[in-house]
Amino acid sequence: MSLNTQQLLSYKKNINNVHAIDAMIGHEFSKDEDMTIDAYKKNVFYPGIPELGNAIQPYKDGATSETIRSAIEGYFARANYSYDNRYSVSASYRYDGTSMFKYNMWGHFWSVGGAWTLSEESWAKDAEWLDNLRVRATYGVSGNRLNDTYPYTNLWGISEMNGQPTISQSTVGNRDLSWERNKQVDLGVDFRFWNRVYGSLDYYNRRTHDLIWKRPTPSSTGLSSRLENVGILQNQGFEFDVTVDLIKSKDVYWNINLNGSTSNTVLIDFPSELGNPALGGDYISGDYLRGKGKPYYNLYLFDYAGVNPENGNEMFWKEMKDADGKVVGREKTENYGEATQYEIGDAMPDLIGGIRTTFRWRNLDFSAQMAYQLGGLQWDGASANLYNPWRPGFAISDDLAGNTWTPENPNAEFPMVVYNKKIDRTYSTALFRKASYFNLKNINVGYTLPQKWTSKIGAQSLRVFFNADNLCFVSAHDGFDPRAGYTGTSFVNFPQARTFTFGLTLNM
Amino acid sequence: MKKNLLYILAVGAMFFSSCSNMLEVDPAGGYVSDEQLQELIKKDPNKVLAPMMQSAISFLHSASYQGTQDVGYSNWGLQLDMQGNDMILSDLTNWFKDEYTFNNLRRQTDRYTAGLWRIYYSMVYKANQILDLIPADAAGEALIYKAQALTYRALAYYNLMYFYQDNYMNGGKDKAGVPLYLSVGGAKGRTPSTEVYSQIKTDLETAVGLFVAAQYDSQADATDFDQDVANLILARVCVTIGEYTAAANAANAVISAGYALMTEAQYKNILDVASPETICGFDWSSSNDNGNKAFTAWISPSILDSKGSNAGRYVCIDERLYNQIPDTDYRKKGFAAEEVEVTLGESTVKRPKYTAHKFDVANWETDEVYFRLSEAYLLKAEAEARGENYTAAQQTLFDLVSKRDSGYTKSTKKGDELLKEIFLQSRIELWGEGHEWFTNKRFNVGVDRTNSANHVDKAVHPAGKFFTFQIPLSLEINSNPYITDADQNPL
Repeated sequence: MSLNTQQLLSYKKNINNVHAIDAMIGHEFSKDEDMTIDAYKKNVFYPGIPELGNAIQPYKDGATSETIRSAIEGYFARANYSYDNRYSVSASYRYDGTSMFKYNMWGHFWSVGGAWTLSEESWAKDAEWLDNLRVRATYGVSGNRLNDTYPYTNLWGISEMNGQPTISQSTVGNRDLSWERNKQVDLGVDFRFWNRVYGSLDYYNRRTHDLIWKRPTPSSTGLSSRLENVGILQNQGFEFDVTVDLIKSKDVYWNINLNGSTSNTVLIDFPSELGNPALGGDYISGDYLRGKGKPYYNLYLFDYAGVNPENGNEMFWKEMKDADGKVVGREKTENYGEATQYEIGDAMPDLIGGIRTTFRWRNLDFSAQMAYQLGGLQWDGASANLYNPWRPGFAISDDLAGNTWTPENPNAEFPMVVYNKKIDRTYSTALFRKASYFNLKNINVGYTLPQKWTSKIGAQSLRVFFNADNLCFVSAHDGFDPRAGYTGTSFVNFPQARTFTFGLTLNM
Repeated sequence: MKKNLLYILAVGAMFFSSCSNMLEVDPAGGYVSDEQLQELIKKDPNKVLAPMMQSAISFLHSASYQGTQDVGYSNWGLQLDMQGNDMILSDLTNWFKDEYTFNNLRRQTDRYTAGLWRIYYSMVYKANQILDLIPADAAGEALIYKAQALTYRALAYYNLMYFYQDNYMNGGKDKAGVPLYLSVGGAKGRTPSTEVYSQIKTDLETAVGLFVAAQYDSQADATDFDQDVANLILARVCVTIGEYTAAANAANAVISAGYALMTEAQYKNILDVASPETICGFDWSSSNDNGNKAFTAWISPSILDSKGSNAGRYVCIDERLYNQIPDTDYRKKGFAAEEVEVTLGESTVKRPKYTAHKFDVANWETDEVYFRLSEAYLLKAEAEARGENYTAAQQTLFDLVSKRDSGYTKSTKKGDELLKEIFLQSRIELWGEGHEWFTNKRFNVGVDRTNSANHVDKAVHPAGKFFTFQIPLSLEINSNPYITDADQNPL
C-alpha cells in the first residue's frame, strides 16, 4: 500500500513581456507499506488447483508475513526570474526527511542557476549564421539516500530450531547514517549555427560528500563491512551531442550525429585509519586499490608473466626488495602466493558514445546507429570459463587448441594442461582486457511506396523496410563483451542477439 | 484578495501541521531492530539471551563458507581430516579434492583459509554479542548463557590458534597468536599466543564454575553447551599448552559426569545425540536436514542421491592404519575388508576396499555429534603420559580400549612409546570425526603418504609451518591497519 500527497502553491507573473516571474512552494509526503504473506504446503490433492486448502502437508516454515514500511517527506520552494528572454536566474530549496535515517532524518538542499541567451542580444541579431546560442550554469547541493528501509539499525531474524526460538543478526546497521550531499556544478552551451549545425556541450563536476559506503572491516571483528557516511567521491566529465545536416534539399536529406561523454570518478577523501601504512595509506577493496586522488576503479591485480618455457607453469611478477625493504626491481615467480599486486589502471572507459546517421532520397530512407567506447579495462569472464580445461566435461576455448605448453611446444601462449590443477591467472592481468569496442547497433533501410499507388487501396502510407540489429561488434577479443559493465569486474552476460527484421508499416 | 489570503493560510496550516512523526518507522515482522531488542532486554533479558545462544549453537550445523562441502562443524572437520594420513578420497574430480591434495589451501589468497578465518571469527562475534548484553552483576539464568557463550568463544579461539600459529610446544608459544576480541569492537592486531591461550583457559574455567555453581544438569540435553563441553575443550587446551595436571583433571570431570562408553551394538550409531557417549551434538530430523550437503551425504557409503559415495566418491581409511587395528577390535568393522558390489536403488556400484562404514547410515538426516566421551579418555591418557604418570595413563587407555578390543591387554609402555600408542588409539577411535589434524599437530607429526598402497595422492609434508595457515589477505590484512605483511605467517 502506498500513500502519496503533494500540496503546491504556485505564482506566475509576466510584466510587459519583459519580466517573467514564477515561483512555487510545496510540501509532499509519501508512505509505503509492503505487506508480504508467504504460505507453503505440499502434496496437492486434486491436480491443478493451487490452493492451500487443496494441499496436504505443511512445508518449510508453513506461513509467514511481514510489513516493510518507509516514509519520506519534503518541503520545497522554487523561483525563476527571466528578463527579456535573455537573462534568467533561478533558485530552489528543499528540506527533506526520510524514515530510513531514524536518528538524522532531515537534510537541507538547495541550488542556484543562471542562463544567458546571447543570440537574443541586439548585437547578435544581425549575425544570420547564429540561430541560437545559450550559456547556462547551475550550482547546488542535492541529497541522496539509500535504496533500503532500516539501515539505521542492526536487524535480527527470528526463527526456530527443534522447538527452540533463535535470533541471529542478519544485517549491520549504523545509527549515524544520514543523507549523502552531492555538490554539483553544471556548465553548458546550447547552439545552432547556419541552421545546420546544432547541439550542446556540457561539463559537470559532482562531489559527493558524506558518501554512504560499505566500509570494509577486517573479518576478525565479525563483520565484513558497515555502511558509513564517510569520504568524498568526485565524478566529473564532459558530454557533447552535435548534429550536422549535411544535405538538405527537396529530394535528399542527410544528417549525422556524434555524441559522447567522458566520466572520471576519483576518490578525494576517506578516513585515514582505513588506509594501510604498508600501502602508503591506500587501502584495497576487492579488485581495486583506493587512495586519495586515485581513480575509484583503480585496478590492483596480480600481474601475469606468461608461461615458464622450461616447465609449462604459469608465472607472475614479483617485487624484489633489498635489505631495507626498498623495491629494486621485479622478477618472475611460479608461486602465486608470493606474487605482487600492481596498479594496472582505471577500469572506467575514457570516452563512450554513439554515432547516428539518417539519409533520405525521395522515398528511400536509411539510418544507422553505432556505439563506441574507448579505453578502460574489463575482466573477460567468458574466456576465464573457457580457459579452464582442468575441469572435465566443460566446454573449452579453441584459443587453447595447439597453444598449450608441451615439451615440444615450449613457447606456447597458454600453460601446460594439468588435470585438477588450480588456475591462478584467472583473476590476474591475463584476463583483463582493454574495454574499447565498436558496435554497429542498428541499420534500417526502408522504401515508402508512392502515395498515388497506396491511396488506391485507401492507405495513407505504406513503407517496406529491412532492419538489422547488432550487425557488427568489435572488441579486444572474440566473444568478449565489455558492455556488461564499466567497473572492470562484471561477470558474463548473456550475449546480445543479432536480429534481422523485414517489415511493412501500413498507415490507414 | 482577503478571501485568497484566508485560503492560503488555511492550506498552509494544513501542510505545516506536518506529518513528521509519521517518519518514525520501525520494522514490523520479518526482522527485529536493535531498538526493539533493547526494549525486550530491559523487561526480560533471558527472552533475548536464550534465542541468541540457541542461534549461536545452530550456527554449528548450518553455517558454511563456500556453500557445498562445508556446511556445518562436522564437515569443517571432514575437510581437515582430508589433510592428513588416515583418510583417503577415492576420486579427485571435485568435492574435497583441494583439501585432500593440499591444493594451496594455506596461502593468504586462498578461499579455504579465508573461510576458516571468517567462520571461526563469526563464532567469536556471536559469543561477544551475547556477552556484551550480560551485565557484570547479572544473576540467575543469565549466568548460564554467559557460561555457554564463554565456552563457545573458547572453542572458536582454540580452533583459530591451531590454524593460525605453530603448535604451542613446538615454537608457537613465543609467536603471535590471533587477534583477541573480548567484546564487539574495532580491529585489533595479533595478540601473543600465551595471552590468547591464557584467556581461553580462564574463560573455560569461569564457564565451568558458573555451570557448577548453578547446578546445571549437563545430562538433560545433549544438544546444548554445558560444563562437560567446557571441560572437554579445557582438557584440549591444557594438553596443548603443557598443563598436564589441569588437562587430566578436566578430562576426568567429563569421564565422571555420567556418560558411558558405547557397546559394539551402540557403536553402530555413533551419530546419535541419544548415544550414551554423546556430550553435545545436533538432533537432525527429516523436517530439518542439510540435504545432500549433510556430513553423512559425504561420508556414508549408503545414501542414495548423495554427492559423496553414490557419485562414486568414497571416503576410505589408509590401509596402513587399518592393518594396525587388531581383528579382535570391533572398530575394524567400520571399514570394508574387501571390495564389494552393492545395489543401491537401481544401480550396482563397486565399493573399494577400506571404504568407511563407520558412519554407514541410509539417511542424511542422521544426527551430528561434536563432542563425545571417548575423546576425554584419550586426552586424559595423553595428559597423564606427558606428565610422566605412566601407570595412570596405561589404566586410562585400558579403560577405553578394552571396551573396543576384547583382546586388548593393558599397556606396559612408557615415555614416547606410550604416547605413540595413545596417538594410534586416538587415530583409530576418532577417525573421521575431525580430530586427526589437531592431534597430528600436537604430536608434531607431518603427512607422509608415500608408502600407503591405497592413497590416491602421495603427498609428503613434514610437520611444522605447513600446518599453519596464512591469515587471509582480502578479508583481514587489507582492511586491518594493525596486521601487515610483516605479521603474516610464513608461506
